[in-house]
Amino acid sequence: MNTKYLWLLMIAIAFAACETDDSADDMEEVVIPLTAGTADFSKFVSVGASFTAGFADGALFIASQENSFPNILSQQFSAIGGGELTQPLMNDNFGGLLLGGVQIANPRLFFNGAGPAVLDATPTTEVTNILSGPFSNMGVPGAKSFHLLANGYGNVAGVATGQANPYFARMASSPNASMLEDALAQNASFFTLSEMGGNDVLSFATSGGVGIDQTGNLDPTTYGPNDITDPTVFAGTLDAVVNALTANGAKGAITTVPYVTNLPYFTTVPYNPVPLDAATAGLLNAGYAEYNGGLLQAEGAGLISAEERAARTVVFAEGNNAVVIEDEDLTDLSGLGLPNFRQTTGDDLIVLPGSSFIGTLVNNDPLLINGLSVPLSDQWVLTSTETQSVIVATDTYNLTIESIAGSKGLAFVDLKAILLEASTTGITFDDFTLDTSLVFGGLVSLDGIHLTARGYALMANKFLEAIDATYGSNFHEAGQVAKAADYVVSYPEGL
Amino acid sequence: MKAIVTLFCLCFCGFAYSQTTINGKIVDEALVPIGGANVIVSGTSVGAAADFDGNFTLTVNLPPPFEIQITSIGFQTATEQVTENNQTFNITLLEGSELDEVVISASRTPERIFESPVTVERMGIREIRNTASADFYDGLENLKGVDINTNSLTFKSINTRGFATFANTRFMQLVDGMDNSAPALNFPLGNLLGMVETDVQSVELLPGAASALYGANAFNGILFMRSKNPFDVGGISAYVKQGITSQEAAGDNSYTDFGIRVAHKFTKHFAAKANFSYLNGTDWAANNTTDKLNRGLDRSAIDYDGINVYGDEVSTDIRGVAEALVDLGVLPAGAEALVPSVNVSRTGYNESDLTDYRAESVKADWGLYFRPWANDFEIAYVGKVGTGSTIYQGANRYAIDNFFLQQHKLEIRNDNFFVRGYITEDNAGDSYDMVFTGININRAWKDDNTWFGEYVGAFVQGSLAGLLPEQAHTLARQTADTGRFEPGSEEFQRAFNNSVNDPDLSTGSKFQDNSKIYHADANYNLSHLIDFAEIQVGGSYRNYELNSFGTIYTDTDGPINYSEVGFYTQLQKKFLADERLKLTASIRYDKSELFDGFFSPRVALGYNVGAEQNHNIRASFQTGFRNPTTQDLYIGLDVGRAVLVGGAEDNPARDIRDYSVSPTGQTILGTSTIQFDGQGAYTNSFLLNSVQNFSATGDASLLEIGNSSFVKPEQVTSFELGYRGKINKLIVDLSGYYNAYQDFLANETVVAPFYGDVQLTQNIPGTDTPLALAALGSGDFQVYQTYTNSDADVNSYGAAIGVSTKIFGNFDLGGNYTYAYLDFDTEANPDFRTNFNTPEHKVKATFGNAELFKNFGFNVAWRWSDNYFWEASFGDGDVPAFHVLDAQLNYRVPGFLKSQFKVGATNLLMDEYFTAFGTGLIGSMYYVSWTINNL
Repeated sequence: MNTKYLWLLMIAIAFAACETDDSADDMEEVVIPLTAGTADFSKFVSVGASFTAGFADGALFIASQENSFPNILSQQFSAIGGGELTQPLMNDNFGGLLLGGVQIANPRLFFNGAGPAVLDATPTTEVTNILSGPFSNMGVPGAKSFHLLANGYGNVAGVATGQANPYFARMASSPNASMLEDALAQNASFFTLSEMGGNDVLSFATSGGVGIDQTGNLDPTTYGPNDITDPTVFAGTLDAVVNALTANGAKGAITTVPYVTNLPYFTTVPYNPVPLDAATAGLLNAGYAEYNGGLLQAEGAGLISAEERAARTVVFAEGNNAVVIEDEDLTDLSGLGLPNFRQTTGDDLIVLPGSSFIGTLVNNDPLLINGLSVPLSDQWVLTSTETQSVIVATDTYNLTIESIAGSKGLAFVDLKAILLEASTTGITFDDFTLDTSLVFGGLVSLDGIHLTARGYALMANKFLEAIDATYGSNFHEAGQVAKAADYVVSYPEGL
Repeated sequence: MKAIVTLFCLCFCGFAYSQTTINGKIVDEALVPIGGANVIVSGTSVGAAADFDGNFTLTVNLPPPFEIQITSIGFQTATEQVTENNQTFNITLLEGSELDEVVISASRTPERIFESPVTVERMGIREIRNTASADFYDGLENLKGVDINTNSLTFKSINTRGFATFANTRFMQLVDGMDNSAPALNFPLGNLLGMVETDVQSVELLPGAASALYGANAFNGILFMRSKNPFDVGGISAYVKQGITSQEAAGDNSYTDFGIRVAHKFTKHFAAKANFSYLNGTDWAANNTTDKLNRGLDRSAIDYDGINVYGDEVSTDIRGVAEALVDLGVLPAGAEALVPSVNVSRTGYNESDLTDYRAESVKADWGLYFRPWANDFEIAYVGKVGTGSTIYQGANRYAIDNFFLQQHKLEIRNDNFFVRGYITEDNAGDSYDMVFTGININRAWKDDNTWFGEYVGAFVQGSLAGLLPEQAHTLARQTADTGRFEPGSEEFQRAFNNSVNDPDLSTGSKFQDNSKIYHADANYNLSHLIDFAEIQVGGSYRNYELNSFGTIYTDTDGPINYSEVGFYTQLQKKFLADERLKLTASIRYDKSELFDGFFSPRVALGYNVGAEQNHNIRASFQTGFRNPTTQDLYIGLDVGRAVLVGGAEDNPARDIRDYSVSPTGQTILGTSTIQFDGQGAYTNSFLLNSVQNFSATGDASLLEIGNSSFVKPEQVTSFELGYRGKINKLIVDLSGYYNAYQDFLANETVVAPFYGDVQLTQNIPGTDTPLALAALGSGDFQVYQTYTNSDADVNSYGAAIGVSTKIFGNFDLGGNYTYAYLDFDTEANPDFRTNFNTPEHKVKATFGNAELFKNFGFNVAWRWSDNYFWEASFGDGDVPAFHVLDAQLNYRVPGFLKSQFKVGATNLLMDEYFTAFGTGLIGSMYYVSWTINNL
């Protein structure tokens, strides 16, 4: 294809009522018999994290679980001997969790006509109410790679302290069971291993990089919840998990880790979101005059380069303005009494919650404006340095994933490429072109990270594509795939 | 012209003396008078018809001795020698066959069908009396090789040898030498300006090319109707028919048809006649709601376009609408991702909401005939008018209401020559396009942009509220349709009235036209001067005056005039012993003001075999040509999906329209609106399909230059072989033909960019992006349908066999089979539509007895047509095979006004069928009729 004129395609050439010359004979569809190829879908187990669970709109709830990609996949598998997928369904369509009657996770978001809003409801899913499994959808929101091997990760007693995961606690076969043990116990003939490595970088990113890049630290028990997992730890874990899952000869599919920074959670709020008039800009500039003067002195003293001085100089002007942040990676000038301030640039990513924080007042003091006169703390912004850590870790994980997928002959679903396509040109799904805009993109749900039902359906189709390619099945050719038109992009308030 | 008339008068007045009058009575072997038998002077067309009692009187300007031929359908031809003036004959005709009937059209001179050089079919008074169809015109359907395409109850269109839509411009219909076609349409409106049944002398049908004698448009066939001359047939004759039409969609409706002929020979110098007929009924309602584009969609589909549902043709890709709304800031940025790239159509109205289905035909004609010397020299003035209401299916479906067609002819003739001139004028009256009526009632209520905008807005809201696409579409349509004009409501009626009175198709649907044809032709038969062969010469001249007030043609600045002229000659000679071999050779030269001249030759050989000369073998080669129609040449009509722009060289430049251009176009052109004319279609355009391929792939190398060539005449070369003969009691007529078409008149759909050359040499300054591609990408173009000629090889061949015989004594049994095949490589020419529209196999049979017992007869006709695929501008689709059975019983009461009473029914099987995609289903008709004095 000649891509030189691709831009033209973005503009629909609308011919009113173009007539087709198709005769009635052309309408007959040729039915292609479905084949499973070398795969056996009779016992399907999905192992993963929040995507596998069907997390959407910031929560897990019955409707979103029904639209989880493993559930959509199992519906296609059922056409060729696939068994039922069992899921640890939540108690309601509100989402959110109670632990001993205390709410520990919020209900889901919904679109209130203007933007995402938290559903006004009290969750009814009680974590201590342990469900009897086994559950073949082993998607546990929040699980990192090494958690799969962690015994006790489903112990209710550990939930309150953060030692255990409430979602796994609901479904674990015993308090001491590990995710992998529970998965292996089901003796799958086919598995999906998804989002391995995802939470290993995601929590770092969503927290604005408040955690630590643990690369080099091989002991995951010492990691904080928002740290980046060491690639070697990741590789060892993945190797163990895949070896175990394939020990019985099972086939499976595995996904790469996308650049989470392509998600609307990071791309929705621009780096310069604050419109100012000249007077306010002048006023703010006056407030930073002293800091800017100090930087010049530091430069003069050779403590910082001219470049860093320029980057740190805070200047507002009429129009859209970058916000002021505190950046721990700047040269420490506290000796001069100068804080680590600078304004954001296009390389910085402001996290989604920042949109409702920037511009708010501290203690209702009109002079203390968050993001302007009061610099944003680390949690609101993923700086370019922090983004770099995420990218480097992701790339390293993906090398491992690709290598293991190759050596084990697994179907390889390149989520990284898929998300990249969606976030740049948009990705075609039947008659729709989905992209990663928040609310309107149709792919990513209201939380800016997880997918819509239509997004999960697309993801399921991408799995089928990879399975067809690897195992010689023909889901796509036979039309045994999810249809965009069968999946919503938004869950209504009342469900 | 006047000079020529004078010249002819001078030439012929000199022969106008020495009259002979003869009289006699014609009976059959049982001494029953044969009413309507023809008596003609051998070798001429002058003659008389016997009255109901078999008596005839004939006056000719020949001195005895000469020969007369006495013919009647079903009887063998008899010849008698006239040896003296006032001779009286008692003639007994032996029962014969239809091969003995005399036809005139095939060679422009009387000859028996048996030895006609080409295939010819005839229907005379006797057939008309016995036809099981509702009227004589419908009865043509039982002839071999003939298809009748039913537009409506009153408008039927004849198809011989294929390539016919309802606009059968390849077929010609002559009534007493006058071309019946409506100037605006270029084809005859069935029998709406035809003849009143009681005035019909004979109907002849020549399938195949006849350009050598009849010029342009006598291309695939010609229908030749002759009326009764008041000098020959006088008195009052009339008929009245009352019945019902029965159709599932329209119910049972009354059907009335009456006609009267009054003729009188005042003196031997002057005779006159007048005819009038009135038909009133209810048309076949068209309520087909299946998907017009054969996608299998039903009414619940978002892009539904029902065959007989109008307004839903307006369809657009809602993703494009969403993008536009986002650009305008009406929808939030990014919201287009929620909107699928699918076409959605507006909600349409049923055809039955847009017409009352009144079928009406009022016809009158009158003639004054002078024979100054009481011989065969005759001066006649004939006037004809037709008005009424019908339905015509062309590019769209049109309600033709209160149209008015008129013709006036002045003719001077004797046995050896004629000169005639006539004028045809049409007036579209209150006619309107039903499709655009639906579209513009919708637009009057809510313009397309608003409707689609509301649709998309509601779709996005619905999707965000958690609706599935299907539910969101339903919500969107409900939202956009809120407040729609309901049929029957006052606002609906007001919008309807506004639309049908407004000729601007962007807001209305009135069909406006008042065009004229002026025609003159002359023929001179030299046989009385030259002995060695029969030689004829002739010529014709025609001038068109197109006047649609800028609504159909590019005649905004006044009527468009152009003319055609043609000359022909024919030589006929018989050779060998018993004159068994007959050679007919003709050649015609035609020249249109717009095109190079054309020669069309015809050579035909006929040979009689057998001791009794009971077998005739014929072979012919001929060419025909067809000038582009007035619409092919001069149309300039925006029908929404494209602007139709005729292919006459001076036409495209006159189709000037205003367009607004995109922001990109504004940068390039430096203006926000431009005037663009149709020249782009013919000089700087891409083929539409290639643009669609380009749009789908982005590959500019797929673009193909359109640049349609200007239109020129289409030609056909035809070979025909045939056999006619009597084998014991079996009469056989069979023929086969092969037609090869050249420069087939065809349409192309092209896209003309507003800027940039289609060779892609001009780039946007400072870039390497061709300007023309920028125009395509920015929507700065117009889609045109051009009128041009195809290089594709189009051939067809076919055969027909007809047999008839007597069984069980005097029962008539006839049957025929027609085969037609289109030899065309559809795969190699995917864009080319031949509109062949003809079933491959067709079988017809009739069974009857004109005299089952005294004065009582019956006839049953059965037809079967194979299925075929219908292609025409309104739409394409399958026409399933059908059986039709018609029957009639008749009883004659010769003592009571020479009456014939008839009870008949058409489509007795009550299995509704259709002959073309898009029309109403044809139901059944039941009628009783009473005819008086029609011989």
